[in-house]
Amino acid sequence: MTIPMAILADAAPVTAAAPANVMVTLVLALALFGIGLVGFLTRRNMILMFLCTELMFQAAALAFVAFGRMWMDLSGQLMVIFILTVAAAEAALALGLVVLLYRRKETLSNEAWADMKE
Amino acid sequence: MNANLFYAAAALGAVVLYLMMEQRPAPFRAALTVAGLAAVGLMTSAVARNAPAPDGIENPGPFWLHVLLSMVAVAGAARMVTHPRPVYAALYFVLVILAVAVNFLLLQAEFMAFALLIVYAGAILITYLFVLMLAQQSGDQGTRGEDSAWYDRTPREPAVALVLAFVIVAATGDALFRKDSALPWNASPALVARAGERAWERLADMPAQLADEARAVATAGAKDEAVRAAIADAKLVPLEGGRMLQASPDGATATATLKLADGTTVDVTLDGSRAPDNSKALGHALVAEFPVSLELAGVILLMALFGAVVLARRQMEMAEDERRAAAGLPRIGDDDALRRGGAA
Repeated sequence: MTIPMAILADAAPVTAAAPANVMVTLVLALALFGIGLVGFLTRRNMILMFLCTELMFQAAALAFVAFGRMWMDLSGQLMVIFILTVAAAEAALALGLVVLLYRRKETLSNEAWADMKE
Repeated sequence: MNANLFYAAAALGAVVLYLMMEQRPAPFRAALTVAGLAAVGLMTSAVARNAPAPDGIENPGPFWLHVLLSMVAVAGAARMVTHPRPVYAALYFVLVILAVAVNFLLLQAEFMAFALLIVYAGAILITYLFVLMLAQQSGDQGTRGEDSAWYDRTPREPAVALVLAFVIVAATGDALFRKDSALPWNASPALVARAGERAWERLADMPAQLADEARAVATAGAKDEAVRAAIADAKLVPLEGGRMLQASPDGATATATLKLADGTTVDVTLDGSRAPDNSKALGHALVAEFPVSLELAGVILLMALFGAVVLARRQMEMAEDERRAAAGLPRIGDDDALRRGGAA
Protein backbone atom coordinates (compact mmCIF):
# COMPACT_ATOMS: atom_id res chain seq x y z
CA MET A 1 0.00 0.00 0.00
CA THR A 2 1.50 3.29 -1.05
CA ILE A 3 1.30 6.60 0.78
CA PRO A 4 -0.13 9.35 -1.47
CA MET A 5 2.63 11.87 -0.67
CA ALA A 6 5.16 9.52 -2.25
CA ILE A 7 3.05 9.22 -5.38
CA LEU A 8 2.93 13.01 -5.56
CA ALA A 9 6.67 13.51 -5.76
CA ASP A 10 7.30 13.32 -9.49
CA ALA A 11 3.91 12.84 -11.10
CA ALA A 12 1.98 15.57 -12.90
CA PRO A 13 1.70 18.92 -11.05
CA VAL A 14 -1.81 18.00 -9.91
CA THR A 15 -3.16 14.45 -9.91
CA ALA A 16 -6.80 13.47 -10.01
CA ALA A 17 -8.39 11.77 -6.99
CA ALA A 18 -10.07 8.37 -7.00
CA PRO A 19 -13.88 8.88 -6.97
CA ALA A 20 -14.43 6.58 -3.97
CA ASN A 21 -11.94 8.52 -1.83
CA VAL A 22 -13.60 11.86 -2.51
CA MET A 23 -17.03 10.34 -1.98
CA VAL A 24 -16.15 8.79 1.38
CA THR A 25 -14.75 12.15 2.52
CA LEU A 26 -17.92 13.96 1.47
CA VAL A 27 -20.04 11.40 3.32
CA LEU A 28 -17.82 11.89 6.39
CA ALA A 29 -18.37 15.66 6.13
CA LEU A 30 -22.10 15.05 5.94
CA ALA A 31 -22.01 12.77 9.00
CA LEU A 32 -19.95 15.27 11.02
CA PHE A 33 -22.36 18.05 10.09
CA GLY A 34 -25.34 15.94 11.18
CA ILE A 35 -23.70 15.01 14.49
CA GLY A 36 -22.76 18.65 15.09
CA LEU A 37 -26.35 19.69 14.42
CA VAL A 38 -27.66 17.08 16.85
CA GLY A 39 -25.18 18.30 19.45
CA PHE A 40 -26.18 21.91 18.96
CA LEU A 41 -29.86 21.05 19.43
CA THR A 42 -29.52 18.66 22.37
CA ARG A 43 -26.74 20.19 24.45
CA ARG A 44 -27.78 22.58 27.21
CA ASN A 45 -24.28 23.78 28.08
CA MET A 46 -23.65 27.06 26.25
CA ILE A 47 -19.93 26.39 25.72
CA LEU A 48 -20.62 22.96 24.24
CA MET A 49 -23.27 24.41 21.94
CA PHE A 50 -20.58 26.64 20.48
CA LEU A 51 -18.21 23.68 20.31
CA CYS A 52 -20.83 21.85 18.24
CA THR A 53 -20.98 24.76 15.79
CA GLU A 54 -17.21 24.37 15.47
CA LEU A 55 -17.84 20.72 14.56
CA MET A 56 -20.18 21.90 11.81
CA PHE A 57 -17.46 24.31 10.63
CA GLN A 58 -15.09 21.33 10.44
CA ALA A 59 -17.60 19.44 8.31
CA ALA A 60 -17.94 22.41 5.96
CA ALA A 61 -14.15 22.76 5.70
CA LEU A 62 -13.80 19.06 4.92
CA ALA A 63 -16.44 19.30 2.20
CA PHE A 64 -14.71 22.37 0.72
CA VAL A 65 -11.36 20.57 0.55
CA ALA A 66 -12.94 17.41 -0.90
CA PHE A 67 -14.81 19.34 -3.60
CA GLY A 68 -11.65 21.34 -4.33
CA ARG A 69 -9.84 18.02 -4.76
CA MET A 70 -12.54 16.79 -7.09
CA TRP A 71 -12.35 19.91 -9.30
CA MET A 72 -8.54 20.04 -8.87
CA ASP A 73 -8.76 23.66 -7.81
CA LEU A 74 -7.27 25.50 -4.84
CA SER A 75 -10.31 27.69 -4.16
CA GLY A 76 -11.74 25.07 -1.82
CA GLN A 77 -8.64 25.16 0.36
CA LEU A 78 -8.63 28.97 0.31
CA MET A 79 -12.19 28.94 1.59
CA VAL A 80 -10.98 26.85 4.55
CA ILE A 81 -8.57 29.65 5.48
CA PHE A 82 -11.55 32.00 5.72
CA ILE A 83 -13.52 29.40 7.69
CA LEU A 84 -10.62 29.24 10.17
CA THR A 85 -10.65 33.05 10.44
CA VAL A 86 -14.36 33.19 11.15
CA ALA A 87 -14.12 30.29 13.61
CA ALA A 88 -11.32 32.01 15.53
CA ALA A 89 -13.22 35.31 15.67
CA GLU A 90 -16.38 33.49 16.72
CA ALA A 91 -14.60 31.55 19.46
CA ALA A 92 -13.08 34.73 20.91
CA LEU A 93 -16.40 36.61 21.03
CA ALA A 94 -18.66 33.71 21.98
CA LEU A 95 -16.45 32.61 24.85
CA GLY A 96 -16.18 36.20 26.11
CA LEU A 97 -19.96 36.43 26.11
CA VAL A 98 -20.36 33.06 27.81
CA VAL A 99 -18.01 34.06 30.63
CA LEU A 100 -20.00 37.28 31.05
CA LEU A 101 -23.28 35.33 31.23
CA TYR A 102 -21.76 32.79 33.62
CA ARG A 103 -20.77 35.54 36.04
CA ARG A 104 -24.34 36.83 36.12
CA LYS A 105 -26.14 33.57 36.88
CA GLU A 106 -23.38 31.13 37.96
CA THR A 107 -24.61 28.48 35.53
CA LEU A 108 -23.76 27.49 31.96
CA SER A 109 -27.26 26.20 31.22
CA ASN A 110 -28.85 28.02 28.31
CA GLU A 111 -32.25 27.69 29.97
CA ALA A 112 -31.20 30.15 32.64
CA TRP A 113 -31.61 32.72 29.88
CA ALA A 114 -34.89 31.38 28.49
CA ASP A 115 -36.76 34.49 29.69
CA MET A 116 -34.82 36.52 27.12
CA LYS A 117 -37.02 35.15 24.35
CA GLU A 118 -40.14 37.11 25.32
CA MET B 1 -26.73 3.44 -8.30
CA ASN B 2 -29.16 3.77 -5.43
CA ALA B 3 -28.98 5.42 -2.08
CA ASN B 4 -30.97 2.93 0.01
CA LEU B 5 -27.88 1.54 1.73
CA PHE B 6 -26.87 5.11 2.57
CA TYR B 7 -30.27 5.87 4.12
CA ALA B 8 -30.09 2.65 6.14
CA ALA B 9 -26.64 3.52 7.45
CA ALA B 10 -27.70 7.05 8.34
CA ALA B 11 -30.80 5.76 10.15
CA LEU B 12 -28.74 3.18 12.09
CA GLY B 13 -26.29 5.93 13.04
CA ALA B 14 -29.14 8.16 14.23
CA VAL B 15 -30.57 5.37 16.40
CA VAL B 16 -27.13 4.64 17.91
CA LEU B 17 -26.61 8.34 18.64
CA TYR B 18 -30.06 8.49 20.26
CA LEU B 19 -29.21 5.57 22.55
CA MET B 20 -25.84 7.14 23.41
CA MET B 21 -27.57 10.25 24.77
CA GLU B 22 -28.28 8.66 28.17
CA GLN B 23 -25.77 7.06 30.52
CA ARG B 24 -25.74 3.29 29.99
CA PRO B 25 -24.22 0.27 31.76
CA ALA B 26 -20.96 -1.14 30.33
CA PRO B 27 -22.34 -4.10 28.27
CA PHE B 28 -24.89 -1.81 26.64
CA ARG B 29 -22.12 0.67 25.78
CA ALA B 30 -20.10 -2.10 24.13
CA ALA B 31 -23.14 -3.11 22.07
CA LEU B 32 -23.61 0.52 21.03
CA THR B 33 -19.97 0.74 19.94
CA VAL B 34 -20.42 -2.34 17.75
CA ALA B 35 -23.65 -0.93 16.29
CA GLY B 36 -21.94 2.41 15.60
CA LEU B 37 -19.06 0.70 13.81
CA ALA B 38 -21.62 -1.32 11.86
CA ALA B 39 -23.24 1.96 10.75
CA VAL B 40 -19.86 3.25 9.53
CA GLY B 41 -19.22 -0.08 7.78
CA LEU B 42 -22.62 0.07 6.10
CA MET B 43 -21.87 3.63 4.98
CA THR B 44 -18.50 2.46 3.60
CA SER B 45 -20.14 -0.27 1.58
CA ALA B 46 -22.75 2.22 0.32
CA VAL B 47 -19.90 4.42 -0.94
CA ALA B 48 -17.88 1.49 -2.34
CA ARG B 49 -20.91 0.21 -4.27
CA ASN B 50 -22.02 3.60 -5.58
CA ALA B 51 -18.75 5.38 -6.32
CA PRO B 52 -17.96 5.55 -10.04
CA ALA B 53 -15.15 3.21 -11.09
CA PRO B 54 -11.75 4.87 -11.47
CA ASP B 55 -10.76 5.28 -15.11
CA GLY B 56 -6.99 5.12 -14.91
CA ILE B 57 -5.89 8.75 -14.70
CA GLU B 58 -6.61 8.98 -10.97
CA ASN B 59 -4.14 8.83 -8.16
CA PRO B 60 -5.16 5.59 -6.37
CA GLY B 61 -5.01 6.87 -2.80
CA PRO B 62 -5.64 4.33 -0.03
CA PHE B 63 -9.40 4.00 0.42
CA TRP B 64 -9.00 1.99 3.64
CA LEU B 65 -7.13 4.90 5.26
CA HIS B 66 -10.05 7.23 4.47
CA VAL B 67 -12.43 4.71 6.03
CA LEU B 68 -10.27 4.35 9.15
CA LEU B 69 -10.10 8.13 9.59
CA SER B 70 -13.84 8.40 9.08
CA MET B 71 -14.39 5.86 11.84
CA VAL B 72 -12.16 7.82 14.23
CA ALA B 73 -13.79 11.15 13.33
CA VAL B 74 -17.36 9.89 13.60
CA ALA B 75 -16.70 8.05 16.88
CA GLY B 76 -15.01 11.15 18.33
CA ALA B 77 -17.83 13.42 17.18
CA ALA B 78 -20.53 11.11 18.56
CA ARG B 79 -18.77 10.90 21.92
CA MET B 80 -18.26 14.67 21.88
CA VAL B 81 -21.96 15.47 21.61
CA THR B 82 -22.97 12.84 24.17
CA HIS B 83 -20.27 12.98 26.86
CA PRO B 84 -21.58 14.31 30.18
CA ARG B 85 -18.26 15.96 31.09
CA PRO B 86 -17.59 19.14 29.06
CA VAL B 87 -13.78 18.87 29.24
CA TYR B 88 -13.90 15.34 27.82
CA ALA B 89 -16.20 16.57 25.06
CA ALA B 90 -13.60 19.21 24.12
CA LEU B 91 -10.84 16.58 24.12
CA TYR B 92 -12.92 14.32 21.85
CA PHE B 93 -13.22 17.30 19.51
CA VAL B 94 -9.40 17.42 19.36
CA LEU B 95 -9.56 13.80 18.18
CA VAL B 96 -11.99 14.80 15.42
CA ILE B 97 -9.66 17.62 14.37
CA LEU B 98 -6.70 15.23 14.19
CA ALA B 99 -8.66 12.85 11.98
CA VAL B 100 -9.83 15.70 9.73
CA ALA B 101 -6.27 17.04 9.47
CA VAL B 102 -4.94 13.66 8.31
CA ASN B 103 -7.83 13.54 5.85
CA PHE B 104 -6.66 16.90 4.49
CA LEU B 105 -3.19 15.42 4.01
CA LEU B 106 -4.68 12.56 1.98
CA LEU B 107 -6.58 15.12 -0.11
CA GLN B 108 -3.29 16.89 -0.95
CA ALA B 109 -4.16 19.93 1.20
CA GLU B 110 -0.92 19.80 3.19
CA PHE B 111 -0.84 23.46 4.22
CA MET B 112 -4.44 23.41 5.46
CA ALA B 113 -3.79 20.19 7.41
CA PHE B 114 -1.11 21.84 9.52
CA ALA B 115 -2.93 25.18 9.70
CA LEU B 116 -5.91 23.25 11.06
CA LEU B 117 -3.78 21.57 13.72
CA ILE B 118 -2.11 24.82 14.78
CA VAL B 119 -5.13 27.11 14.69
CA TYR B 120 -7.87 24.71 15.75
CA ALA B 121 -6.25 22.17 18.02
CA GLY B 122 -3.58 24.57 19.21
CA ALA B 123 -5.41 27.86 19.70
CA ILE B 124 -9.20 27.64 19.52
CA LEU B 125 -9.56 24.43 21.49
CA ILE B 126 -7.20 25.66 24.22
CA THR B 127 -9.37 28.78 24.57
CA TYR B 128 -12.41 26.53 24.93
CA LEU B 129 -10.66 24.42 27.55
CA PHE B 130 -9.65 27.53 29.50
CA VAL B 131 -13.22 28.80 29.59
CA LEU B 132 -14.58 25.36 30.49
CA MET B 133 -12.20 25.18 33.42
CA LEU B 134 -13.01 28.77 34.48
CA ALA B 135 -16.69 27.88 34.58
CA GLN B 136 -16.20 24.42 36.14
CA GLN B 137 -18.58 23.60 38.97
CA SER B 138 -16.70 22.55 42.09
CA GLY B 139 -17.11 18.89 42.94
CA ASP B 140 -16.87 17.70 39.34
CA GLN B 141 -14.83 14.57 40.00
CA GLY B 142 -16.21 11.40 38.40
CA THR B 143 -15.01 10.51 34.91
CA ARG B 144 -18.38 8.91 34.06
CA GLY B 145 -20.11 12.21 34.72
CA GLU B 146 -22.25 11.04 37.64
CA ASP B 147 -21.66 14.37 39.36
CA SER B 148 -21.68 16.62 36.32
CA ALA B 149 -24.17 19.47 36.34
CA TRP B 150 -27.74 18.39 35.46
CA TYR B 151 -27.65 20.34 32.20
CA ASP B 152 -24.66 18.31 30.99
CA ARG B 153 -26.34 15.01 31.82
CA THR B 154 -29.80 15.57 30.33
CA PRO B 155 -30.06 16.14 26.58
CA ARG B 156 -32.87 18.36 25.32
CA GLU B 157 -35.33 16.71 22.89
CA PRO B 158 -32.86 14.16 21.43
CA ALA B 159 -35.52 12.43 19.29
CA VAL B 160 -36.60 15.65 17.56
CA ALA B 161 -33.00 16.72 16.97
CA LEU B 162 -32.05 13.34 15.50
CA VAL B 163 -35.04 13.19 13.16
CA LEU B 164 -34.22 16.70 11.94
CA ALA B 165 -30.54 15.88 11.44
CA PHE B 166 -31.42 12.60 9.68
CA VAL B 167 -33.71 14.41 7.25
CA ILE B 168 -31.03 17.00 6.44
CA VAL B 169 -28.27 14.39 6.05
CA ALA B 170 -30.45 12.09 3.92
CA ALA B 171 -31.61 14.92 1.64
CA THR B 172 -28.06 16.21 1.14
CA GLY B 173 -26.61 12.71 0.75
CA ASP B 174 -29.13 12.00 -1.97
CA ALA B 175 -27.35 14.62 -4.10
CA LEU B 176 -24.07 12.71 -3.68
CA PHE B 177 -25.53 9.33 -4.59
CA ARG B 178 -27.50 10.57 -7.59
CA LYS B 179 -26.55 8.88 -10.84
CA ASP B 180 -27.27 11.90 -13.04
CA SER B 181 -25.16 14.24 -10.90
CA ALA B 182 -23.09 16.83 -12.74
CA LEU B 183 -20.16 16.38 -10.35
CA PRO B 184 -16.92 15.34 -12.12
CA TRP B 185 -16.36 12.19 -10.04
CA ASN B 186 -14.00 10.94 -12.74
CA ALA B 187 -11.60 13.71 -13.66
CA SER B 188 -11.52 14.26 -17.42
CA PRO B 189 -8.16 14.67 -19.17
CA ALA B 190 -9.25 18.26 -19.93
CA LEU B 191 -9.68 18.94 -16.19
CA VAL B 192 -6.26 17.45 -15.42
CA ALA B 193 -4.66 19.48 -18.23
CA ARG B 194 -6.33 22.70 -17.04
CA ALA B 195 -5.16 22.08 -13.45
CA GLY B 196 -1.60 21.44 -14.65
CA GLU B 197 -1.67 24.54 -16.83
CA ARG B 198 -2.82 26.61 -13.85
CA ALA B 199 0.06 25.25 -11.76
CA TRP B 200 2.53 26.35 -14.47
CA GLU B 201 0.86 29.77 -14.71
CA ARG B 202 1.48 30.15 -10.99
CA LEU B 203 5.15 29.24 -11.42
CA ALA B 204 5.44 31.75 -14.29
CA ASP B 205 4.07 34.40 -11.89
CA MET B 206 7.08 33.81 -9.59
CA PRO B 207 10.04 34.77 -11.83
CA ALA B 208 12.83 34.14 -9.30
CA GLN B 209 11.38 30.76 -8.40
CA LEU B 210 10.97 29.85 -12.07
CA ALA B 211 14.57 30.85 -12.89
CA ASP B 212 15.87 28.76 -9.97
CA GLU B 213 13.89 25.71 -11.07
CA ALA B 214 15.01 26.11 -14.70
CA ARG B 215 18.68 26.45 -13.68
CA ALA B 216 18.38 23.40 -11.39
CA VAL B 217 17.01 21.30 -14.26
CA ALA B 218 19.66 22.59 -16.67
CA THR B 219 22.46 21.92 -14.17
CA ALA B 220 21.25 18.36 -13.65
CA GLY B 221 21.44 17.81 -17.42
CA ALA B 222 24.84 19.50 -17.89
CA LYS B 223 27.84 17.32 -18.74
CA ASP B 224 30.88 19.14 -17.39
CA GLU B 225 31.87 21.62 -14.72
CA ALA B 226 32.34 24.60 -17.07
CA VAL B 227 28.80 24.32 -18.42
CA ARG B 228 27.44 24.03 -14.90
CA ALA B 229 29.27 27.20 -13.88
CA ALA B 230 27.90 29.01 -16.95
CA ILE B 231 24.37 27.90 -16.13
CA ALA B 232 24.66 29.35 -12.62
CA ASP B 233 24.33 32.92 -14.03
CA ALA B 234 22.07 32.05 -16.96
CA LYS B 235 18.96 34.19 -17.44
CA LEU B 236 15.50 33.21 -18.67
CA VAL B 237 14.51 34.49 -22.07
CA PRO B 238 10.88 34.85 -23.23
CA LEU B 239 9.59 32.18 -25.59
CA GLU B 240 7.63 33.10 -28.69
CA GLY B 241 4.46 34.92 -27.63
CA GLY B 242 6.30 36.69 -24.80
CA ARG B 243 5.73 33.93 -22.23
CA MET B 244 8.48 32.71 -19.95
CA LEU B 245 7.06 29.21 -19.63
CA GLN B 246 5.09 27.08 -22.07
CA ALA B 247 2.95 24.30 -20.64
CA SER B 248 2.59 21.07 -22.63
CA PRO B 249 -0.93 20.35 -23.96
CA ASP B 250 -1.62 17.78 -21.22
CA GLY B 251 -0.31 20.12 -18.50
CA ALA B 252 2.16 17.54 -17.20
CA THR B 253 5.37 19.36 -18.16
CA ALA B 254 6.44 22.85 -19.22
CA THR B 255 9.37 24.24 -21.18
CA ALA B 256 11.47 27.36 -20.67
CA THR B 257 14.61 28.72 -22.32
CA LEU B 258 17.77 29.81 -20.52
CA LYS B 259 20.34 32.14 -22.12
CA LEU B 260 23.96 31.76 -21.05
CA ALA B 261 26.50 34.60 -20.83
CA ASP B 262 28.10 33.57 -24.15
CA GLY B 263 24.77 33.88 -25.98
CA THR B 264 23.91 30.18 -26.37
CA THR B 265 20.45 29.12 -25.28
CA VAL B 266 19.42 25.98 -23.40
CA ASP B 267 15.88 24.59 -23.55
CA VAL B 268 14.77 22.99 -20.31
CA THR B 269 11.71 20.85 -19.64
CA LEU B 270 10.25 21.09 -16.14
CA ASP B 271 8.41 18.04 -14.88
CA GLY B 272 5.64 17.91 -12.29
CA SER B 273 7.98 17.92 -9.30
CA ARG B 274 9.12 21.44 -10.31
CA ALA B 275 5.59 22.92 -10.07
CA PRO B 276 4.84 25.07 -6.99
CA ASP B 277 4.01 22.91 -3.97
CA ASN B 278 0.77 23.23 -2.05
CA SER B 279 1.79 26.05 0.30
CA LYS B 280 3.43 28.14 -2.45
CA ALA B 281 0.44 27.69 -4.76
CA LEU B 282 -1.96 28.50 -1.92
CA GLY B 283 -0.08 31.67 -0.99
CA HIS B 284 -0.03 32.74 -4.62
CA ALA B 285 -3.73 32.05 -5.09
CA LEU B 286 -4.56 33.91 -1.87
CA VAL B 287 -2.95 37.19 -2.93
CA ALA B 288 -3.51 36.86 -6.69
CA GLU B 289 -7.10 35.59 -6.79
CA PHE B 290 -8.71 36.62 -3.49
CA PRO B 291 -6.99 39.84 -2.32
CA VAL B 292 -10.23 41.52 -1.17
CA SER B 293 -11.30 38.47 0.85
CA LEU B 294 -7.88 38.42 2.47
CA GLU B 295 -8.28 42.05 3.56
CA LEU B 296 -11.80 41.32 4.79
CA ALA B 297 -10.51 38.43 6.89
CA GLY B 298 -8.08 40.87 8.49
CA VAL B 299 -10.95 43.27 9.25
CA ILE B 300 -12.99 40.42 10.80
CA LEU B 301 -10.10 39.51 13.09
CA LEU B 302 -9.63 43.17 14.07
CA MET B 303 -13.33 43.52 14.88
CA ALA B 304 -13.19 40.32 16.97
CA LEU B 305 -10.24 41.83 18.85
CA PHE B 306 -12.24 45.01 19.58
CA GLY B 307 -15.23 42.95 20.64
CA ALA B 308 -13.13 40.85 23.00
CA VAL B 309 -11.69 44.00 24.60
CA VAL B 310 -15.18 45.46 25.10
CA LEU B 311 -16.37 42.20 26.70
CA ALA B 312 -13.30 42.07 28.95
CA ARG B 313 -13.97 45.65 30.13
CA ARG B 314 -17.54 44.65 30.96
CA GLN B 315 -16.18 41.80 33.06
CA MET B 316 -13.89 44.15 34.92
CA GLU B 317 -16.92 46.37 35.65
CA MET B 318 -18.72 43.35 37.05
CA ALA B 319 -15.79 42.52 39.30
CA GLU B 320 -15.86 46.15 40.47
CA ASP B 321 -19.61 45.73 41.09
CA GLU B 322 -19.02 42.79 43.37
CA ARG B 323 -16.57 44.79 45.44
CA ARG B 324 -19.08 47.65 45.67
CA ALA B 325 -21.83 45.31 46.71
CA ALA B 326 -19.63 43.90 49.44
CA ALA B 327 -19.01 47.46 50.68
CA GLY B 328 -22.77 48.21 50.72
CA LEU B 329 -22.69 50.54 47.69
CA PRO B 330 -25.12 50.15 44.73
CA ARG B 331 -23.91 47.98 41.84
CA ILE B 332 -22.90 49.77 38.64
CA GLY B 333 -24.67 47.16 36.55
CA ASP B 334 -27.78 47.15 38.75
CA ASP B 335 -30.08 49.46 36.81
CA ASP B 336 -32.98 49.06 39.22
CA ALA B 337 -30.93 50.23 42.19
CA LEU B 338 -29.62 53.18 40.20
CA ARG B 339 -33.16 54.11 39.14
CA ARG B 340 -34.33 53.98 42.73
CA GLY B 341 -31.91 56.78 43.43
CA GLY B 342 -28.68 55.08 44.28
CA ALA B 343 -29.84 53.28 47.43
CA ALA B 344 -28.37 49.80 47.78
